[in-house]
Amino acid sequence: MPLDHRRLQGPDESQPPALWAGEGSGPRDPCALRPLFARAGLLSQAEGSAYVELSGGTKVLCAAWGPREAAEPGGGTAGGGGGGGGGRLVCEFRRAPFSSRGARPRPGGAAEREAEREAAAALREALEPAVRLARYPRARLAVSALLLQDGGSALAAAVSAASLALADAGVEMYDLAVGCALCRDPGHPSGAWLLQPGEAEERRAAARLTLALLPALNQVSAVLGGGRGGDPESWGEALRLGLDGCHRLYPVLRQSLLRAVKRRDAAHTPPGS
Amino acid sequence: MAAVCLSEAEKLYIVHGVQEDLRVDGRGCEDYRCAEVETDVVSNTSGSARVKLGHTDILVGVKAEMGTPKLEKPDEGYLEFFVDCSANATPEFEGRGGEELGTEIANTLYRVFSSEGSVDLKSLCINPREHCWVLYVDVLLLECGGNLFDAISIAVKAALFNTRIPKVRVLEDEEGSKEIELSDDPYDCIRLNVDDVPCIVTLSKIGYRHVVDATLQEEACSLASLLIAVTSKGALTCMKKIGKGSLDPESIFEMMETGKRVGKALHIALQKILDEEESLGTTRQKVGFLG
Amino acid sequence: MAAARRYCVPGERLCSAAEAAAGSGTYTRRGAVCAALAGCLRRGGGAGGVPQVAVLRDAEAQLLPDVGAVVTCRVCSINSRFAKVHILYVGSTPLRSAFRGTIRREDIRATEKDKVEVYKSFRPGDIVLAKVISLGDAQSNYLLSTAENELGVVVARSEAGVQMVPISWCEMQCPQTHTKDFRKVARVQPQFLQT
Repeated sequence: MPLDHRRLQGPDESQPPALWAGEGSGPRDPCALRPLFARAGLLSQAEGSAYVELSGGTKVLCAAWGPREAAEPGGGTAGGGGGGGGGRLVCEFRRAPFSSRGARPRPGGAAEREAEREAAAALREALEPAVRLARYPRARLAVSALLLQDGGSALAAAVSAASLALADAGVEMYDLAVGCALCRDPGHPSGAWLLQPGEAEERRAAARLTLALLPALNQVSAVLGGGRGGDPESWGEALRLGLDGCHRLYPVLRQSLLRAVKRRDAAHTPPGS
Repeated sequence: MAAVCLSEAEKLYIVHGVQEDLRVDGRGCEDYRCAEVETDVVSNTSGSARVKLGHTDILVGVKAEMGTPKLEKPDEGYLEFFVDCSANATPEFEGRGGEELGTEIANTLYRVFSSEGSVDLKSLCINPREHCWVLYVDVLLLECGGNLFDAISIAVKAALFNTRIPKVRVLEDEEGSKEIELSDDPYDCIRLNVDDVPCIVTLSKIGYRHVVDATLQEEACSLASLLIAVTSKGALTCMKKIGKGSLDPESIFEMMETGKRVGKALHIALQKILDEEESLGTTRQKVGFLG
Repeated sequence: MAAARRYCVPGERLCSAAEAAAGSGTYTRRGAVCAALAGCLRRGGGAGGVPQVAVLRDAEAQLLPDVGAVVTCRVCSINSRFAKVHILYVGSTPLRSAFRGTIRREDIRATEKDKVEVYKSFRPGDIVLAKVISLGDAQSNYLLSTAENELGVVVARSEAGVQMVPISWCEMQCPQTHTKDFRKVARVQPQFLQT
């Protein structure tokens, strides 16, 4: 019998098994960070690379390439950022076709491309203040982030990974950028914010927020959030919580970068020198 | 975006002025430029509005078309945004030049309206799973004079206020097949409740202070700005940093407070104008594009 | 080196700006010297006896052609107004990817500029020493000049495919066929002659 593939084959009413799985098991500590694993300098072909994994499933792989000749001199496009004679930062964000739960999106589909482009723009805005673009006149720095698995807080993880990759590539930077995500649980009437939500929490969240912080400079390089309105006070609280989260994540990223630098150094200096 | 060239001295002049709460055009840091709002300017739409904010000129048309509801929300209609950066605004938008900015603005609008309850989407449903109204919101940039986002959000709100969607009835015959009947009376239509539609307030950081409604010159002096969507009740529905620079945390808190205050005042002023226009009804003299 | 090496990451505060001058791989912010690179910290005496801190990386940091830098490039095409080149080295540092540059006719030599002819100065494939005079604007790429005695063609091959020998500042000769070709020959400085 020929099947109509365009029609949904499932029954009219169905519930995801997660409803019975009892995930989330009770209220969790809103300030708890998910354990983060970071490793810099793991790809051999890229000049700089980093891998960041949040326990719970978010996996991001990032590669960075140092200054290259800009494709079109001047970079007169609106988003080029080459106006001041500095270099351009070109960011790419890709989601693996199997990254998210549920149906596999068509790679290269219009909606998918649109979402990737928006994430790439957000990534660029979060990283641009951290990179010393004025040191790279007329050149192009490239960062590419690949989301292998989306377990929530993906953009935040991508920001952290991308800044690690850039630093690993030997790009001059003012600071690392640390990303952190938050979401507001609709269950809470008071609107409590959760740090680093998982995929399920993110899906049913009333509001979401992604932050990026330059910890040494104490500057916020990205704020991107939306959802059911709350008072500015509530958002302010989220901001404070998120920035605190970024400060707590920073040592992990710093350590992994130091480890990569030492490894690199050991590989290049002959023993005994 | 349209670019202006400023010398260092000019930038310094603007920055120092902002520090003293006095801007080049005589405004304070929290003052908007004089805005002109006119609704119902294009007759082929379900609702339209034109907003002139200084040298920024925005035309928004809303067209209601029938479509099928989205799978995940079978009993709701939806909104689609499209932003066209016409080459009238600046020659850089010619061809595909404005595409990037257009998608950025459209994405921001989606984000702003993603909050449940900003528009009552359930009222756009005709019959669940099968038919709903899709509101296509088309934004046209006629002129760019800075602060595009705020002007666009004002225009979108005004156009949604002006939108009239014809009433339809669903008739079901014995066999279960449904038929949609359009009301004969052109005045028999549904209006949208726009009380909760947010407006965007963009706060540009200049020096140590921030200003609302920046002109192109002021935008050139600002490295980073914070975009906040505020409802008339003062709730925030969207927050976004735009620009190449970064912001320090304290100033973000200040900006959010300012944004709420300014946004509320903006909503009150806008609602007053819209109600006034509404009360005039057909006696209102249309200015259109000759004004 | 006896002391343990100190490594740092971008943004790390190294010392106060009064203590030491900011060397390569660092920047100053609010009176402090901060690291701009992820690498190994090195303190040393800088110019004028002021100690200097720098952050070094194992691999030579990627340089970019800057105004005034002497670059080594390969000619890829010529026409009557300019020669197009690929910049391969900045000083003695190889670039990871080639940058395009242009040597205009009037920048080939310092004197009698109006009599210069590009095809009598360069041929595609020549290796040329040149100096960056401008980063160029929106339309053009790097502008280079060879208007110095030390700048110009250093390696060229004749039609027979043999490396030619310079015989004067404007001619090179093929050792096999003894044909002479015109070039803007560089008088190579001894410090560049490495074996």
